Amino acid sequence: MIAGKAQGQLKIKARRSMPSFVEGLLYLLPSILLFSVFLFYPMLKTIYLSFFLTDAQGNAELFVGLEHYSNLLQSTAFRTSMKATLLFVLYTVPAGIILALFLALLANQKLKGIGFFRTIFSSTMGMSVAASSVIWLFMYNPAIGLGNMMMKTFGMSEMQWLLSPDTALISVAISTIWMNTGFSFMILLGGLHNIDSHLYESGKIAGVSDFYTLRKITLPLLSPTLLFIVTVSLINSFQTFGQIDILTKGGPMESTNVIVYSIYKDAFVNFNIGSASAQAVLLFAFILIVTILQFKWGEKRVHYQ
Amino acid sequence: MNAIEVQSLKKAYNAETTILKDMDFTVKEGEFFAIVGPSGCGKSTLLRIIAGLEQVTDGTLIMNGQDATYRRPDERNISMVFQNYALFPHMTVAQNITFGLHVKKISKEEQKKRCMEAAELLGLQHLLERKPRELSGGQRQRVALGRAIASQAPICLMDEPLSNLDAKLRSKMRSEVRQIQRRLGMTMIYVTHDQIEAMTMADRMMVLNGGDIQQVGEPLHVYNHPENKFVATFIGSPPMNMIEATWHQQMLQITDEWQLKAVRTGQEKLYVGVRPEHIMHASGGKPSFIGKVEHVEILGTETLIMFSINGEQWIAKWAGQWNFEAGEMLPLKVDIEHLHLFDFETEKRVETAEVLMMEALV
Ligand SMILES: Nc1ncnc2c1ncn2[C@@H]1O[C@H](COP(=O)(O)OP(=O)(O)O)[C@@H](O)[C@H]1O
Ligand SMILES: [Mg+2]
Repeated sequence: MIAGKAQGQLKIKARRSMPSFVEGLLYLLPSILLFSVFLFYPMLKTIYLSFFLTDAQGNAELFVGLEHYSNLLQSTAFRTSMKATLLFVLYTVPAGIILALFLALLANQKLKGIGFFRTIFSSTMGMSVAASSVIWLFMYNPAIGLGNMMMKTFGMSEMQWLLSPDTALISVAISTIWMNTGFSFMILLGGLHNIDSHLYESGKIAGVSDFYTLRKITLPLLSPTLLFIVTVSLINSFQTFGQIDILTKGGPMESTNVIVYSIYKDAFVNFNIGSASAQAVLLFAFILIVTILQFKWGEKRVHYQ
Repeated sequence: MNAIEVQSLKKAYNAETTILKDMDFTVKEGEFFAIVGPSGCGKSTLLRIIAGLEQVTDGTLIMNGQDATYRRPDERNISMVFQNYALFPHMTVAQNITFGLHVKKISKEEQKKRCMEAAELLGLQHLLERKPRELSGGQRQRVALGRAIASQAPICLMDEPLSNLDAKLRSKMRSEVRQIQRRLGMTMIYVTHDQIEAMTMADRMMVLNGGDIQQVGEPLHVYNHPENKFVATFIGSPPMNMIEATWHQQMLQITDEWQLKAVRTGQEKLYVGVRPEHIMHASGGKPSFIGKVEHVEILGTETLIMFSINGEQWIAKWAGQWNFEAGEMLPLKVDIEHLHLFDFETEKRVETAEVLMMEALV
């Protein structure tokens, strides 16, 4: 009797859950449609095209299997591009986050007029990559730029900045750090705000040092925010395009030809869409692996509250 | 000896509003001192000034005989328990309890020993390796206490430490906190908005309102001899009943039928207060007044009777279980010695014996 009733309830549940699944899908439909058209379809198409030789319009002509991939892995151009990308990530991500963290710690102090500095520190967030790049183009101008003017005032020799293969990548990295700091700063400041002020007061009453507070209270409690900002910055950095296009166009001597720029050139300048697709797939796979590794690493070290 | 002396202390966050106005009081060593008052009256601000987390605007703070007004919090030899416990979510219970002990150059073994002692005192032994999020509210509360105990600071400050607990646990923790304070002989300054906590735990209590000290004294003295109308109505639950009375020659007219022979003081009017437990059934004798029953709450061991008297709602508290219909007229009686009188202007206590003639019930 009781068992029968329970079974009946189970049936009711099962009958109910079907429509609710459909209902759920209906709610998701708009985003599923948008994602399909603008994300899933292009992604699949890219993977598909990476196995083909294409004509200038990007139509698949001849199936070549993994040939694009094997060519890429053997080509020095691709390796140079990979190296430039990795170096670029290395230059921008740690320095950018440390700078943003430093500014956020400063701006989190309760001081008079701190709101002004918060605005200043986050101001680059409101600026487009194009506008910021143009500003830096002027700064890096060897003849009239602020960069060389500063070098002169400090008694150092003038530099070629974007024009020399030795300094171009670093110069772009500096401007990128400047552009991204505003965003990282805002996120980190938000994270700092969320830390309970009573914890710091407990620290004050116990009399622990500022450095101990930073190491044992602030950083552990900020770790979820830090993981987030590291992930976003890494992905962003791997995908840098705008400032490269405006500042250096991948030059001089391919020294700033990061992978996304290389993809762009292969696809829309050389019309070698198959190879460009293969590069895009490789980049995607690489970022995916890095992100997964990062989360795995973070699992043990990040303290979610 | 005084553990803390506060002298003409003032605090203002900005020019317009003064949060604490000219405070003077002392806390004795080993004393459980409760600061009680309604929300927003400046209790936390005062406690944070004693802790050194806020600066005074003016005045002096003497701790253990030395001027500590401008000392850093860690130089004041205090521990503090916050309302939200302020536990570090990424540290274990043990790490939370021993937090900050390394600063005082306390060895690892000694830290461990203190941690075990505190844990034993609070019944936390089996939870030492857990993180705060794996604890119940009451257990978190104990960990916060544990930190205060392990620090062995002679003065402990608590800011509404029990207000996040459910009623049953709260009354259990009340006695536990009190016992621990006695056993360790710490000086406790305990902030609460709950007058029951202040009444049941404190050696002495200080009633605050709007940044002003209303009264300082032993809980029972404050209860029996409230200095002013605010204290009278704030301390006690249900609160003291209050009504305006007017003078007619040498009579104090409380209601139409209730008047008392008295020596007239200067004012036109007086406030008359009666505690709910002092209103009794007239039972055959001459009633002081007749109350019209509005509502009855039977709590098992006692009964609260809400009735109206001259348009005011009053409450009587009787032992046992009583049931009356709404609208029933009750003959009620109050002994003169249970009346509290307050000046109409200043709201200060007027000694009943100075005004009322004890034998002269009309
Ligand atoms: N940092 C501050 N700046 C300005 N006003 C404050 C600040 N902190 C508290 N106050 C004000 O001081 C008054 C007393 O606050 P508080 O001491 O927290 O009261 P309580 O603990 O008794 O509820 C409140 O009116 C509150 O608005
Ligand atoms: Mg408070």
